[in-house]
Amino acid sequence: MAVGEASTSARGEPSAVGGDGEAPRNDKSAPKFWLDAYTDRVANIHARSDCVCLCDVFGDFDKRLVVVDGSQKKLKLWKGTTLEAELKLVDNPVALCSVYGDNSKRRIPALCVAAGPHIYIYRNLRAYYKFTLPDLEFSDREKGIWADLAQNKVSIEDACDQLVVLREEGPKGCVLSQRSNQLIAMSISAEEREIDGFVARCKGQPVLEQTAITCICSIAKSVQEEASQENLLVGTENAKLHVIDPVKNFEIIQTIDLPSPPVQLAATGAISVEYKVAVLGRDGKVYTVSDGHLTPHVLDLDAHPISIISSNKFVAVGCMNKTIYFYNLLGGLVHNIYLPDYLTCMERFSTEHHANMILVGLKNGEIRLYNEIMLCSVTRIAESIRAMKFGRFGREDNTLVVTTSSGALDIKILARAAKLNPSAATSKLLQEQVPEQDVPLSIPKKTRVYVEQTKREREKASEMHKGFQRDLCKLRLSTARAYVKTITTGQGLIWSSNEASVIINASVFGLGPDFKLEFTLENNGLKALHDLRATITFTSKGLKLEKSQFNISTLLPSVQYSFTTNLRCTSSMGAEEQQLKVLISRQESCVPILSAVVKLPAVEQEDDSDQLQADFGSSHHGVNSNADMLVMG
Amino acid sequence: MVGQGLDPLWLAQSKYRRRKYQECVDICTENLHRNPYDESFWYLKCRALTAIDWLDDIELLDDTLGDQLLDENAIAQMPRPGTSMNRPATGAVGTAAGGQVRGRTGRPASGFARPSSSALRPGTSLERALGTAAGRRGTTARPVTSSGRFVRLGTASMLDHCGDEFIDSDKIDIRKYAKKPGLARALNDYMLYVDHNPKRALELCSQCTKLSDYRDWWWKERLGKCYFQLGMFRDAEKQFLSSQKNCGTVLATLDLCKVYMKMDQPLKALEAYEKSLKEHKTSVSLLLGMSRCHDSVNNFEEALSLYKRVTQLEPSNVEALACLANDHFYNDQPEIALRFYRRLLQMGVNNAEIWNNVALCCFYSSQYDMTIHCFEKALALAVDEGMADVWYNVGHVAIAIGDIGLAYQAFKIAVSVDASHAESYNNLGVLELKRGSFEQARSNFQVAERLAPELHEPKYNSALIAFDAGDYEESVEMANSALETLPGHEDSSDLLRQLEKVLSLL
Repeated sequence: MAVGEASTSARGEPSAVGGDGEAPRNDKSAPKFWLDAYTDRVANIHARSDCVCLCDVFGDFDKRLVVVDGSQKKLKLWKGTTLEAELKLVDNPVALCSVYGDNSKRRIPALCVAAGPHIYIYRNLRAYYKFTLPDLEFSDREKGIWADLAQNKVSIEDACDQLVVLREEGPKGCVLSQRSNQLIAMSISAEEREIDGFVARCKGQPVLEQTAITCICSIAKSVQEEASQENLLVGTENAKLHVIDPVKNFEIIQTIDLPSPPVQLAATGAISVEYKVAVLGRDGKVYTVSDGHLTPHVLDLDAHPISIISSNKFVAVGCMNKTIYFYNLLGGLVHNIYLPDYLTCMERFSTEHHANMILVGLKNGEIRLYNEIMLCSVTRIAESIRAMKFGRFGREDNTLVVTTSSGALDIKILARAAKLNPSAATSKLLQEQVPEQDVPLSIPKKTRVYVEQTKREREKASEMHKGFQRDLCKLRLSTARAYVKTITTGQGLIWSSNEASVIINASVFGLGPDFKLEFTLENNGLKALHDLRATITFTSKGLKLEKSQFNISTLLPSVQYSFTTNLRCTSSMGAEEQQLKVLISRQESCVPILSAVVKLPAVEQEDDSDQLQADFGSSHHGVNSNADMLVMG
Repeated sequence: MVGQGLDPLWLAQSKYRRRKYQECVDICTENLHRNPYDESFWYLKCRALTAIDWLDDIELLDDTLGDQLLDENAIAQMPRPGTSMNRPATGAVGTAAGGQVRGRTGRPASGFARPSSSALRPGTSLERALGTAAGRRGTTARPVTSSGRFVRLGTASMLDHCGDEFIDSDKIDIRKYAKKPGLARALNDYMLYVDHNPKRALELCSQCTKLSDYRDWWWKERLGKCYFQLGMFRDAEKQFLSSQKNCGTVLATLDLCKVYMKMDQPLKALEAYEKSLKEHKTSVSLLLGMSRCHDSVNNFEEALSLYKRVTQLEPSNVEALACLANDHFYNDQPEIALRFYRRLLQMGVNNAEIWNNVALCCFYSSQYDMTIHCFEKALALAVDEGMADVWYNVGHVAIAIGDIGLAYQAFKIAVSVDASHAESYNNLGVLELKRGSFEQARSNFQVAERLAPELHEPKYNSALIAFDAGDYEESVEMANSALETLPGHEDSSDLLRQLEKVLSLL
């Protein structure tokens, strides 16, 4: 506190970062970007972005929010701000999508819930159809081998050898069934009995397996319009992408092989015209499927991707290193955006006048809107964001539905006056905002007392100094005395010498009148200690100890040794507090090197008349008794 | 020496008034021997015994272990921040520069040790509460349940007073006494405070309430007290509310708010206080109660303004002065704090804590000549727990001077006096590190962390040591846990960022 500094009044304004839709702090007159429509903290929604959908379920132009909740196996439907319906699902859902399947006049979409190898289709919120992916195909030779095994035409070892050969010769490693893989593995490691049992169980069962769906997506069939007829794109665990036509009884029109199982699909275009699907693979690469075949175009990413958005101008990939990469259609990296915190989800933002914008949800609860590289707005909610969906909800266009990590639901509407084309300057300001810089340091007022005190200091400087130094010397002396006392009487919990240092920790368990005393010793030094003794002493007579002396032959470094003993508190001394001391001493002297004090809780008095007097007399007072002196030598 | 010719009853009364309760009891007992049916002596003896054992149970919010364990009252599991003592609001004010000091046993940040503040903090894990670690600070062997404590005191007093029993609560005829209102009140208090038999007291109270036609506020208040002691909080609340309707007294309000605090509803307590304040504008106890509520939910600003009001009404109120002084100290105005402490000293408060605080204030306002003198006074007056703190502060002053040796000795003494003084262990660790004993430092930090998991410093220090030693995994863990303890700790975040860079290179 320099004298003569201008005194600032009171404290600075508290930083008010919280609050949704707050404009940048240095521009208080800017209008709100998002209007808060509804918040429900106990909505209990646990779903990621691909399990949330805004869909016109009943065909009445009133879009509803559909959520499939994996943790509860339920499908929930929100109309506006109320939960309208709940359906129980058969299986754990993986993805949700709405598809306009047919060509009827009244546009009612079908809700597709993917779970396992099936897609459950609901129309008008009633179960309509269950589509199952076809089983995996295995080579005939493999089936032949198993058939032979079943009829015992070939021995198990031969069968294994043949299977191994089959596995290695196929193109890019011919895929064997799980069963075969397991048999090969078992033949190496498991016992004869188990292998036989396994083969016996598989007898008679055909070699069939099912795959699982990883992601689904809808793509326009011929016209890219709202509510036009659509097809379904399904990605599976065995690295295939299926194009399914809902009209023809959900028949698979096309299947494309991918190098790795897909995690997310982003489709643009229309099936019968030309289309492009950007596939986020589990190996961290982005593949493109164009017009029915896999292009040789592969995007290699720096860090593992989280989410992908594809538009007709660019492909945006959000990765785990807090960055979003923008690629153009030819596959070149155009630019990237660095985020302040980890990304949790991305969503496409498009209104009637603006398209190609992305919404990004961050782990610290921020929702950022980017127009290409420009940051349009930053909004913050209290918790980390789990899923976002933008679109028409109810009768309101431009609604953003956000679910958070605690299951809360937050619905925001885009304000009409929201600026979607910010100037470069505003965007830069938004990005560089650091709220802490604006809060002035709260220096307290300079008080009259303070001024008087400084006056005194100036006048009596030398006396103050002398007095202080004198007192300091006295303090040093008294401290040193007290310190020496603690060393020589071994009162600390930690003891250290050149070779070793020991820590003791003692505690009492139980609620009385029976207790258990446990103390642990730990040698934190580098050398082992030998021949220590532990003694437990107490002063009052109402305690009965099972064992009060311990011989500790060795204390190895970094190993925790614990010793326990039981003790019983008899009723005579219930009113006072009792203290136990655990003393650790070495062979050389009876002065302990360490001690720990434990206090026993007071015990509720019992009315037993038999007073068991502890008759242990001297053997409990370790240090002073003769018996112990002999023991310690 | 009984004066000759003095009427024994008059003498007994005079002794009662002069607060010589034991002598009063003796005279009464003597006279009762002669005439066991003398009501006046009976009454006096009753009152005197109650006066000896009377605890100001308005202030006593003793929340003991057994009560917490066996508490069957359902308390909201997920309260909104700021509405419950289990989840105080993390106010922007309170967390300035590392947050206000709040010790492990709930050592108050407000500078005044209240009767409840040394009890278990809500939210302490049961294992820690049950295991009485070596020399745990503040544990003067807490009795397990509150009735246990009362029983203890009760029997102690019995032993002291009389071989013959005066009143056997279980055998007494409630109805007979209910009809005599004066005796009934004395008896009721006796049963509550001396005999600790709330069940019988409850019967007596309900009889008397009925007889007084439900209009007597005193009986309802006592009824509420009985319910409270029996743990039936909702019933207690009802009784206090109806007592207030009859006659809005400060006492009933204080009782009511005690019930609300027990049920973990500080906001409701505040409402009740507000309402009562409208009638009793100058009641210091109400204002103090309100500010305690605010303190318990970390609403420090509100609490402070209330304390200021208290000082305006009652300039020598110790609690308010101490809290104000504490606040000024932590807001970088030690000279103002010094003035408050001086006033407290003038009022006659003379214990180790206040001398310790005065010493610290002097030091931080650069009045160095007084500092050490005050520390010495504090040391002379200190008992075990306080002593560790004083030595700890001495150590701090030594560090500020630059005398590392003195600091080291002071901290060592602090830990030898109180084996669970985690802050001293932490500082010892830092000093050891300066000396170069890396292993020692590490073990000190570990002990500190184990003793006080709510401090973030030992965790951060362990993370730093691990980082220097190359143990990155350990360092990440410790830094993360330090951030959990104090979110927004810049140094930990910095360390984590460095670790990220290092680890991503691997």
